[in-house]
Formats: sequence, C-alpha cells, structure tokens
Amino acid sequence: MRDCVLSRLSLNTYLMANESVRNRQWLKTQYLSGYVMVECDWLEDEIRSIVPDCHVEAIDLNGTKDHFHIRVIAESFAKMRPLQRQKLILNHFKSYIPNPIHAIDLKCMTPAQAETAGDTVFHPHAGGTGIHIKKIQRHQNKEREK
Amino acid sequence: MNWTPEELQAIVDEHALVLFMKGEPGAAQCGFSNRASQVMQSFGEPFASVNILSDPRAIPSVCAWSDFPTMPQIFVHGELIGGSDIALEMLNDGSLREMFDSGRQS
Repeated sequence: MRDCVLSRLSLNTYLMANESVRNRQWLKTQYLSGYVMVECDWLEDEIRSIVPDCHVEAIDLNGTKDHFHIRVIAESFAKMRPLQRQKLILNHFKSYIPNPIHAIDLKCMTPAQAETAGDTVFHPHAGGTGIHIKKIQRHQNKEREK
Repeated sequence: MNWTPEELQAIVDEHALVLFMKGEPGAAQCGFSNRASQVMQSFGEPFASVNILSDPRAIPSVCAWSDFPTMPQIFVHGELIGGSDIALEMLNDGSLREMFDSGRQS
C-alpha cells in the first residue's frame, strides 16, 4: 500500500481549496502532531488497485479526513454476495481502521443496482445517532469558484 | 466473558439473530449501530445484542474471529451477513426474512 500521510503542502492546498471545511484548527493540530490522515484520492486509487473495473467515488463527510462515504460500482460485483464485496474493500484498509479511518459508509453495487440506488449517503454521527443525507458533491467548493 | 472464539461462537450458535454493536438498542453509541438495531427491531424477531464497548478487548477479538474489521456486525443462524447497510438492504429486499426462515426450518 502506498503511503497515505498528508503532506504539509497538501494540507494547506486542501484548506485553501475548501474554505468551508469545519474544524480547520483541529486538522492542523492533527497534522502537526504527526497524525496520519487519509485522502479521498488515495482511497480511490487503492480501491481501483483491487477492483480494476470499478467506478469509485470517495467523499470526506466532515472535512476531517476520518469519516468517509465510499461508493464502488463494478460489474465484477455481480458474482459476489454483499458481504464478500465489503470484505474485499474493508479488509484492504484493515490496518487503517479505526484510526485514521474512523467510519466508512460503504456502498458496493453493480451498474444495474447503481441505476436504482438513489444518491443518499448515511452519515453516522449527524443528528446524534446517524441520518441519511442527500449525497454531497465532493468538489462542490471548487465548482462554486468556477 | 473473555471474548474467545469459542465464547463468541457459542453466542451465535445459541441465538438465531445476534447484533454486535456499540452500546445497547435504544442507546446506541454510533450511527451505524443505531441503524443496525433499528433494522433488527423492524424485522420483528427476537435478537440478542452484545455491547462491544463494555470491554476494550471486545472489538479486536470479535473482528479477528469474524474476519470483518468494522462494527456493528449481524449474525443470522451463526453466519455473518455484514454491517448495518447490508442488513438494511436485506431487510428491504426480503432476503433477511428468507435467510432467517430457511435456517429455522433446518
């Protein structure tokens, strides 16, 4: 597995590109204390390496790089049961759970299932005990700037 | 309770439905566990729940035994089906009912 430590440069770039990110100070403190943080791009690359035919999208739910929604769509899932699909992905990241990856809302679907799946995301802490939210755009801040 | 594979196996052998979760049903300590206990409650069959926050040894022991790295975990007739999202999916498409009923007859 490629190293997922966030560099100082990428942290600053990230914070500049995402002005609305909550807990900015917390993120900086985590970085300065040498805490390992996970990038959505890294998650997606890792998943592509184990499910080569997939379309994958990772979303940082809080802007704190520890709660993620990950949506993986692949034809090769058709011959696998739901548990097998999740095990394949989750066990790959086993050494990163529960830290630095604290929570993953993972959806593994075939293209046919994805067409009817809707676009809600489960946020495990929002509302106190978890709520389904409308899927958030990963690059919404960048889009707004354009 | 020492969370040995034998003890854990005995729990899922004894109960047709087992939910390993953070907290208790009605007082879940995590959104995923809350959703899992809601799925179990709407399913309507009696289930056993195990609070894996009651002992720091619990999470690593259960995860190593079941070969699944996240919580909650749901077992139907001794077989792991997955976490809260798979349970919800299986509740909605009827496959949870099918699996529960077919295991009960055998």
